Amino acid sequence: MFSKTLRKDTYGYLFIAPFFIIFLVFGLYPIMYSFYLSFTDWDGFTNPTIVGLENYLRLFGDFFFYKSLFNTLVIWIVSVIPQLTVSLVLAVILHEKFVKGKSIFRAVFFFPNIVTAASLGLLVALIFSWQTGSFNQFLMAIGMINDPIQWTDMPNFMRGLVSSILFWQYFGYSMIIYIAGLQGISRDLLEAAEIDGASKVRVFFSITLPLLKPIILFQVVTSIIGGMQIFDQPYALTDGSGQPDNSTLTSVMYLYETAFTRYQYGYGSAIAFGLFLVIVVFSIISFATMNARTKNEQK
Amino acid sequence: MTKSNLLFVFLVWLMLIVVLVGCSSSSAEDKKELRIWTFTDEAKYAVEKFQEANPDIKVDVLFINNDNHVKKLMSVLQVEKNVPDVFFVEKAYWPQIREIPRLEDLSQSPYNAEEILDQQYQYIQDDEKDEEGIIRGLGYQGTPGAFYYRRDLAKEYLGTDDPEEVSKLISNWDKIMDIGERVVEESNGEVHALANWSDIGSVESSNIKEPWVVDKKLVIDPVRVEAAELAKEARERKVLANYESWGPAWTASMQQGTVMFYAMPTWALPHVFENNAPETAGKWGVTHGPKAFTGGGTFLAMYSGSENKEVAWEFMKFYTTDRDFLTELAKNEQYFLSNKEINIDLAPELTSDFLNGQKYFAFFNEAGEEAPSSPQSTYDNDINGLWDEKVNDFLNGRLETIEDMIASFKKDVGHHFPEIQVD
Repeated sequence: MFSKTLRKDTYGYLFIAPFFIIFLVFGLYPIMYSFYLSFTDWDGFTNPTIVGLENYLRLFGDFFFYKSLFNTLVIWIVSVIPQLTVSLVLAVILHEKFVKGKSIFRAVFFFPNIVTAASLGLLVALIFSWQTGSFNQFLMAIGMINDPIQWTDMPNFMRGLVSSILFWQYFGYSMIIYIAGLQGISRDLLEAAEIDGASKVRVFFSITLPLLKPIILFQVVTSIIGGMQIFDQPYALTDGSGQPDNSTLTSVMYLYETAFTRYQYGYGSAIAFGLFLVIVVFSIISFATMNARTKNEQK
Repeated sequence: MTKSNLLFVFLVWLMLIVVLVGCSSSSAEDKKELRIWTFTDEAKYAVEKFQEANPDIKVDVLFINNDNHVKKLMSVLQVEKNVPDVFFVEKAYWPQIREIPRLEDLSQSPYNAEEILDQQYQYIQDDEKDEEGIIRGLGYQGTPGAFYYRRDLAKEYLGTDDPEEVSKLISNWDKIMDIGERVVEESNGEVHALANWSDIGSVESSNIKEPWVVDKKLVIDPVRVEAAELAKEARERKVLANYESWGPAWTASMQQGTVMFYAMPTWALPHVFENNAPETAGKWGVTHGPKAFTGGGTFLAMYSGSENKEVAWEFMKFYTTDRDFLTELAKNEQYFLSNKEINIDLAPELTSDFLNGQKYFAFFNEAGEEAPSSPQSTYDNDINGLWDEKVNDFLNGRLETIEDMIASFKKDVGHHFPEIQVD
């Protein structure tokens, strides 16, 4: 009934096969294909014609590409710094032994993460709409302004609004990850420090923070990758326009617009790979700085 | 082959089947089949009636929301898989889609669509043809524009609510600006003449002579520049309420009566005004504004690789020429048709309670005869978006002069479409 030699190896492949097949078909193939497309000019109807590096040359001189990168970066930084710090503080507080209603707070802070970005964008757009937005109505009711302010025409304000949405949406998520990390830190260390008379703040900076380093690195890297791909929030907020003055046009929105509303698939692919390079560079930088710090500390 | 190998192969095979079965479809029935993609609810009514008239045809309608509809349609047309036999296309996207070489040539026999076009308004006929003059689709909707106005406001501020009289009072933009300025003052800023600048923009952009792009060169029709200047003037003289089109303030204003005129096409009567302001029935009127114009519209096109062309054509013909159906459609749904002959027949009897008994088919028929053709290139929809952004920047003061606006616009067009010569 059984063959004489056990062949464990094939079972292993079998179990991982579904992932790889799906990844090859729906992941790797499209990536390779769009890499090929980035060297072509293609509208989807005629056959792609090879244009060499033309798309990349256009990319390097493309004002909108740089502007969208800049927008993405500003929006990301303004959202990610409070996101990673506020969530860390909350995580530490909610990790304390004697806090009442811990699990309720954890759940409540996590809730915004389940709301879809599109509905959030829409909601905020309504709140800040020019003539009837509730924010303007409120300001007028308390007499701070006489005429409604056109918030949607202020580039920096709109960028800030996108950042706020992102922050609100993701701080709970970051907090959960931090809490998981905190649970990995041995209570013994904290108790030992307490017995030695260290204050809470001292414990946080000397024990918790250093031991959380890998978690922080993970958060930074994932948020870089996620941050570079900001799309839904500004798209829904500005109805896909990236206005005012293209200030909320993020790189992925620009990519989407180029490939799927102007049907310039070749150039769209080139933007995707340009963006890929930028993400790689940022990831390397963040890894390097984190590693350098760890090494310094080990010395 | 060992058992484990067999199992492996079996599982992979099973998985492929699961994946692939989802993609194929069976079509081994006796009934003739027709697949339709649409973005509009209107299709339901038409399909129902079509099936009543043709019980031997099985119609399969897929409804996809507006923006996604075009994207899906483009992608199936690109790969030529799963393409519906007939698809609806909104006017904004139509100029781009009608040039796709996968649309059936309806000028040729057995269709000879020219005969159908003869029954339609001139501007629709022009829209239905591609750059070479070949008929690529059929419009079933007539979309001439009107100035919808609140009769109570007209009476209060203009002294009359008679459409003829009102029309004389708003026969050019200067008059509208003067009214707007006066009304804002008299109402303490409550009432404005127009909702936003697109009331000016949509009228004027119907009256262009040239599309945005001719022979790969950018053309800025002077009418568009004038419209931007008019919009600026209107903004400065507080003629505009600055309610964003389709936004909540805009729809609420119809009910509240804070805007005097809305420049909107035929279909706005049931879909916009009656929908948003049902309690104001009888308070409305339609009249002619400074210029004739049109707005929106829907076209039916057939996939050239379709296997059901005969049935597809039956449906298209039904929706554009079937007298019984169209009469019913017009009466029951307040639907103004592309078919002029039927509209004319109905004109004497069709009145609208919402418009205080006005004979609106007669009115729109007149408007349809005067409606200008506005030529569109495949780029027009995209470039319209860029232009509107710049006009907004100009109105809000980010771009100070009209020259700045045009320069910035040209720069953007050149960036996004390197193949277009902008200067």
